[in-house]
Amino acid sequence: GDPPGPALRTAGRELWETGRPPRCSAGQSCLHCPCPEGCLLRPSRHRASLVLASSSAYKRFSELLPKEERENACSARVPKSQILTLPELRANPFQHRICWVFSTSDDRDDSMSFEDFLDMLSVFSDSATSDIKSYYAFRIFDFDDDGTLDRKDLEKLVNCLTGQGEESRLSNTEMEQLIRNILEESDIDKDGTINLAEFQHIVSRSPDFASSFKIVL
Amino acid sequence: MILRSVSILQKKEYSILNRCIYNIKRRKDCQQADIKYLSGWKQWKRTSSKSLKKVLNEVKELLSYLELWRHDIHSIEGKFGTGIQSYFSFLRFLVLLNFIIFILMFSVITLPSIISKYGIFNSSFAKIPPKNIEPHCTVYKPSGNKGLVYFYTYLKDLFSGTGFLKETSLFYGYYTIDTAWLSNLSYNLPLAYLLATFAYLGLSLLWIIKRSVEGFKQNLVRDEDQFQSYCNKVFAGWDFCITDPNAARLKHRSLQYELQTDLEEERLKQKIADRTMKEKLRIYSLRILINIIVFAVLSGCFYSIYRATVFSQENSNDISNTNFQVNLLLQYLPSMVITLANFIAPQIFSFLIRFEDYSPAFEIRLTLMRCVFVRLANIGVLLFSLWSQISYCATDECKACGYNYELYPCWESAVGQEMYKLMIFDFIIILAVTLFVDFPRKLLVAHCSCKPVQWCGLQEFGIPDNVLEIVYGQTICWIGTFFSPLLPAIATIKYFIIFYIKKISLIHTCKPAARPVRASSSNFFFLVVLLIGLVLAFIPLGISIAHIPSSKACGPFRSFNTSWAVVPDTILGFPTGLQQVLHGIASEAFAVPFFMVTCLIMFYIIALAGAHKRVVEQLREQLVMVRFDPLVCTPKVFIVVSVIRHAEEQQFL
Repeated sequence: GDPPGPALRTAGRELWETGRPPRCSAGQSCLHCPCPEGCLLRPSRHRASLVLASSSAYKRFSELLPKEERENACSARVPKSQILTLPELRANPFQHRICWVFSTSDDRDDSMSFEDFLDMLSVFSDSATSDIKSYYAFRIFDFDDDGTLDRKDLEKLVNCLTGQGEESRLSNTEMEQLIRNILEESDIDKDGTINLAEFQHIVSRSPDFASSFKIVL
Repeated sequence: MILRSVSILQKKEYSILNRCIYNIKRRKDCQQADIKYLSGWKQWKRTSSKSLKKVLNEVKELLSYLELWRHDIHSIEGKFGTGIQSYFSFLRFLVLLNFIIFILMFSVITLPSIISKYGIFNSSFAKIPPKNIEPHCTVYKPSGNKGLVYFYTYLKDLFSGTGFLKETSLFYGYYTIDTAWLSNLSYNLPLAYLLATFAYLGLSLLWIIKRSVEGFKQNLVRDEDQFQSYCNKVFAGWDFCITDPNAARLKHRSLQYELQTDLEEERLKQKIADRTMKEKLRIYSLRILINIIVFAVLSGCFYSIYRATVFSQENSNDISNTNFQVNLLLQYLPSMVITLANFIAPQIFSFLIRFEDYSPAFEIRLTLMRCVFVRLANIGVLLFSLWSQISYCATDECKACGYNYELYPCWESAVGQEMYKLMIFDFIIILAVTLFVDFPRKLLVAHCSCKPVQWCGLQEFGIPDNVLEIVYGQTICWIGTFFSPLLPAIATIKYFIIFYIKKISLIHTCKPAARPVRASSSNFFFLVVLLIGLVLAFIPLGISIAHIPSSKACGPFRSFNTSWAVVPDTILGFPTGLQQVLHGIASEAFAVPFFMVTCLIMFYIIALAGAHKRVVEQLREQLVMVRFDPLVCTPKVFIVVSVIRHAEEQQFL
């Protein structure tokens, strides 16, 4: 389907606030539709006051821009190649997915504005609840953006974890066995894929998730 | 995955919710009540305890800056992972332990002896000749270097503890003092010597147990079968805080290894469950055969060490052999044979274990246990062969003394010399292997591109081997300190230098490990091996102190039958009441009830642990049922439960 639009980001916030799939101003359920109108509430606005209070985020963002554009950093967009030079993302195997998920660029070039940057920091900060973290983790792990984690997504996920290079990949039999075990543990409705609810359920029982899904500037 | 009827599930789901809401309400009420009814005194107590905690935290932070090698170990952790870092923390712990033991022995034994021998502070010492002992047993002429000698004699003496070194305070023979007098105070040196020995053994035991308790708790929790281990590792496995590419590489490797090991363990469990009776019989008989081979290898090692020690003792006491190199070689023959056995036996064990078809984790543990046993038992065999030499008595005069007074007038010093030689040789071997094997290997791999060399590659930093090496050295130190009170100082310096040698070797000559090791299991394993070493050190010391007659020609225990005899002797000097109490404690009338009470307490604690484990199992089952029953997992219930949890976090963080 269509790439995730601004509506999908707000859905996360509304989901954990009200516990209901949110409806946008167009009256459609924002989890699934490509909402034409941008919804008014964005996660970053709620958190912006907290994050901007420590100006380190703003400072880091403006350092990524060339000198001429630093004056109006708030409205500039940083290209993906610059974002990936951040030490926090440099060594991360999910760097491309993170840029894709948080970028609001219309050209689909994964460039990030300051709002996107704040979005990303707020999701990865300590003060984000585990529900919003697990929602974004699901988005990051969903390599084909179809709303579920199927076998191919899980395969790509495991390959990201074990590292690049031929000798660091699991063999086919090992991969099959691993994916079978994962689905056995987490797939409740036995449809062969993990949807958002199942993912959030399994992650909520993991003791390490909150401490590992964290980026500190 | 047990499906139950709808009504029960719905009751269960609502009961869980009700319990959650009730708990939150109750906690909220309690907190509010606390705040309202807190009187002035309680408020002051609360604020003062908070500020005290703050002060304590700051003090702890300051103290952590004083930690030895804090920065080095931190950088090693960042570059090489927590497994290798735990090895270096272990090394630091041993340096500190040896230093403390040295301070103890020095201040209690050596310092009073030196003060009284040189008459400082108006002190003097008394040397009471032993009564009721044959005079020939008390003759002791330490063969020091008389007249002009070649310079290399001093070198030989330095390396083998003979000659001028034998008469120094390094060895037992120096402390031939029965009482030291400082002005009017008397200092019972024999009793102090014995008590200091018990003190350093007890201190080591308590410190090691204290450190291993934390590791044990972590190990216990980790070993429990996690019920969603794969999902945990895959979804929460990557640490997003990693910024260093090296650390990221390490993490990738450790994740790959963990996943592969878990999958392999699962496959193996399945294979074991599928084994037929015929296969089981074959495997068990093969295992018995291999254990017999292991036993044969061990016997071979022990016998060769015994022969080497006997040969070395017989020929080095032969004074006609004055050739410097040959004499040194003879002195070091037992050490060399032990090092050779310590090198060959583990290779054989790791080759044999492949045929025994155990799970990988058990394979590692069994090989390690066998290597530990080889290393520590080798020391025991050396000591046993020494004792057989010392207590070998052919003549009646010899039997009157209880030990071979001609060859070993001061046999404790002789044992001390052997331990000294072992320690020096161990240190030389570690230095030599690093200088002459590791660095040339690295140069060869870096500059020569022929296939065999590249296939061999750089060496890995093998943690188990390195740990066994230093535990072996520490066991020698523990055994030897009784016979050579300044040995802990040598051990401290040795481990201090080894830290830097290993660090340089690690950074410059080692490649990263293919099998990353977890820190929590490593810490516990190191301390268990160290504890085994300590317990094995108790045995030779116990036999020396309590069984073998002390030498009558030198040392503080000349007037006593055995070294232990000083304790009953001192007790006889106590007031009668105290004597009766002590006799009562040592008698059966006290020991049997004490033993029974200890057993009762142990049974109680075991029962408590079993009950806790059952509660954990029940809770886990509940979680699984809640998780897998589709009727419980309705989105409504899930979202409400997550909202409740969210509210809890917000309020009670």
